[in-house]
Amino acid sequence: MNGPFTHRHPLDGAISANPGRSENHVTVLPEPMVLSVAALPGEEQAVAATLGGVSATALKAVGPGEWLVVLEKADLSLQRDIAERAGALALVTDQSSGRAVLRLQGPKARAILAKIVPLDLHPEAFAIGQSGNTLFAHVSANVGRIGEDEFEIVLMRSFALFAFQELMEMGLEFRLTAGFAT
Amino acid sequence: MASLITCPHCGSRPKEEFSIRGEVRSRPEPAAPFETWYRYVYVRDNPKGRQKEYWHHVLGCRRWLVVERDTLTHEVYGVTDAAAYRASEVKEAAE
Repeated sequence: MNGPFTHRHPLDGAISANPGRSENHVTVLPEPMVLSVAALPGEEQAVAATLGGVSATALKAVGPGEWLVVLEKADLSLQRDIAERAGALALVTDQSSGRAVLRLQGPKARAILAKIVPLDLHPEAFAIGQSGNTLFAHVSANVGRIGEDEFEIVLMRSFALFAFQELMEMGLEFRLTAGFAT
Repeated sequence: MASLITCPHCGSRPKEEFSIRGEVRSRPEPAAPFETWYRYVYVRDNPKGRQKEYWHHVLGCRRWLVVERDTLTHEVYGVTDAAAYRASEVKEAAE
């Protein structure tokens, strides 16, 4: 029997069950882990040091002394590790069910994203591992480069459908396809 | 008109990412006369030219910034984090 709080992804129903896959593709993470880490005043550098073990592409810059740790799947040992090491210096909150994570990849990924965000996406200005909160269409999202032709977009769950549709529309000319990660 | 603001935390961003609160003015003492408080709350100079304003980077780092710009040409002279601005102001007052 299903309980009243069954997990449901905000893009359930928006993506066809058997999507085709072109070279430009959006991978939606069905159950990502998103942790918010916000340093207490004066502890910014100490907290940054404790996050050294998180890979550069999983650690998202939000603002001074504030980060998101974004992983494909829940990693309880990492979560515990972060909570233990940064717990006294920062507020660590699990945001997994509040955020949606989209990965845009392909040779035209940058061209597609450039139509939606105001960031300078040239690899010299926005290298692998770099990220930031920015304007995504009309909503706020964290955009980061996780590969040469791969970007990760982390945004509020309730914005996910709008942002996804916008992204697909911008990708229309490049035959952008989408599907859940398997 | 330049519409890029160089946020000290995020780098160059368009003005659409920000929300403008208004002129930077120092808060009067709690016991200041009614007239001073009245001016602080309701009266704006609205200069045509250089002015310091509070900008909130709503869609970016969510920090308050102090942007010094020309209201006529929108030339931006400087952007500081509001906390740093306040700290330097307090320091100057103490000296």
